[in-house]
Amino acid sequence: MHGYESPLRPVLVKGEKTYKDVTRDILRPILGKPSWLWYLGLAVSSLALLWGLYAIGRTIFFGVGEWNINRTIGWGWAIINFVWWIGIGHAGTLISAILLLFRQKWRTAVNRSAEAMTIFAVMCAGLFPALHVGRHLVVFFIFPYPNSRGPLWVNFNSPLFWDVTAISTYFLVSLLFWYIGLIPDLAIIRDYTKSAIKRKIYGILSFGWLGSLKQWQRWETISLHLAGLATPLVLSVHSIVSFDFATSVIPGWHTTIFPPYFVAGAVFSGFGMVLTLLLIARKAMNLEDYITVDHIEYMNKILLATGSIVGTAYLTELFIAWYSGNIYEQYAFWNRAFGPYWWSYWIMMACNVIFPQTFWIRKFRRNLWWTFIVSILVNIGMWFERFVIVVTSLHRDFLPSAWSMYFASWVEVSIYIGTLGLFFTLFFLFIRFFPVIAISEIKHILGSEMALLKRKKSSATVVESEN
Amino acid sequence: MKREKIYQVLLTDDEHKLVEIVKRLKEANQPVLDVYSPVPVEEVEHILEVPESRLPKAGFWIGFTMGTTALLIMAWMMGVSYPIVFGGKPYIPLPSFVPPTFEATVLTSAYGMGIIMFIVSKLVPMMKAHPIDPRITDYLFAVLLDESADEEVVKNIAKDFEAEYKKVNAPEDVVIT
Repeated sequence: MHGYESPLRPVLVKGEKTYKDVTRDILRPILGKPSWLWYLGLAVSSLALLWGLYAIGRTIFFGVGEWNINRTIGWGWAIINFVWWIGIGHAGTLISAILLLFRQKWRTAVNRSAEAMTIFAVMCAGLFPALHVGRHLVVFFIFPYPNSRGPLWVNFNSPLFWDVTAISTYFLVSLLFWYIGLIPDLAIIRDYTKSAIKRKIYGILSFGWLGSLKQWQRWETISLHLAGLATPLVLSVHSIVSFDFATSVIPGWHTTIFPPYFVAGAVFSGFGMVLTLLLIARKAMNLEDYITVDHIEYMNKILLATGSIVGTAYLTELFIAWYSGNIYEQYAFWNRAFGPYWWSYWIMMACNVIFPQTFWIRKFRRNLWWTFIVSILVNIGMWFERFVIVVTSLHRDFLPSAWSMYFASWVEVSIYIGTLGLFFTLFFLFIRFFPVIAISEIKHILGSEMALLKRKKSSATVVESEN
Repeated sequence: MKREKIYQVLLTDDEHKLVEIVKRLKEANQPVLDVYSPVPVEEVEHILEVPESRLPKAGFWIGFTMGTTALLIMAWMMGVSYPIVFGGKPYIPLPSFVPPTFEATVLTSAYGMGIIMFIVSKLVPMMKAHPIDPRITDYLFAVLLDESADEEVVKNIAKDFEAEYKKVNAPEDVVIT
């Protein structure tokens, strides 16, 4: 039924668990009382969100003059943060879609929370372009609808328009995928809880799920096909984000390496954020049996692979700048490494290229503290990558009289903090009210995992008796 | 008023036993109405010869139709309704239409499949669920049989596999999809 299983593969669920144990373990944080740490986390992140809302209010009221962007550097923190958040949103759908197609069973422990992170991160990302346009009341002009201005349609040649379609599609499809996965688990809470209010709320949310033969059949079919549809979507979103840069004529942006390099960078940063949050969640919510060190190691391998692709892309960019013989391109890269923003370039290099390389060593891959530190460094490094791409490429353009410097104003910084607040507020609410681990999917692999555990135990006994 | 119908239910907590029970019931020609489980059990689908879902076909055709429509609308907007020259490009720049057409196809195909699944599986927000046993979403596998099933045979199979046997008699307790 489950096909061949390598006896060498580690068991994905620790301990001899039954279906009942899985339900009890994963629902414990939802049905019990939250700890003071949860309240503290929620309070801090909601305060950050409120502060960000104040900064957004100022931007809407006084205009983007509240920011330090200028004529030379038109894309400041808004676009840096936009690309950073979109990147973070890439791990979720990669885990749930691409790893589903590759039949990676370990994804079942992390897909739910990673998908949630995707949705929250895309929400944060979507804010920035909308604020950056300046005339916030007419943001809807980006959509092609019959209007009284001609009708003047949008420019379908523009990557900025493609971006709107790609990101909204990505958000909506991820949301559907996530919710369809949640329905059976919400039904478990509905039937399991003793609280009448919870039964009512989860009853509404679970859409009347019963787990009948046909329901499961359709659920499996749609999960597989949504994974098939979401796979090219994951690749398309960041490719299109990279077109925003690559289709311009700015040295440092106008390169064909951008789409694959951006996609790898996005997956890299997404896994960085997933690791940061899951390491905290598994400890705080006692999920060590489900998110094991092996899971962390698998994710570190992906971090290493994507980090190496990103590192190769950085070096390729430098090589092409030299090899092309184009002096503007050469200057752009010299300026990145040794110009006034040299520090941002070297932070990026250290965090994205050097530290993840330690994961070639198994001991580092399985060290949770080291993983936690590297995952945070990856988040920082990927933010600086976008800073390097946006600011250093723009601040010295073709006309030396227009050269300028850019440092963010407190309003720009506050909006960024606000989006971090939004992301964490939503995440704290999510871990409190929704199952962090896909219960039904864990149960689905439980049979094969327990059989593997038994085989391992019996072969260990045989080896012992032979010795 | 609807006549109250009696259903017979077999409950077990073992996936493999469920498969065997369904096999035996099928061999004994007992009318299995539905099977409820906490996880999908593909083997039961094969035994009961449940036809394959047509959702992928629906998804394909919805995506194909809507993608083509999006392409035609864009071509009409840029080439017929209000033609503008953008940087010397043709009025109908087909390569530029690739990303939006792709997104339109994926979005409509995904939501088309999703909405159809929700409707045909009777999954609607606020829909009241009446599980035949509250444990079926947690750890029990249930086989639902019509009242016409031979009680003796069913009880014997239950005994052989140490399954719980019970009767449910309210029609709204059962949603057959």
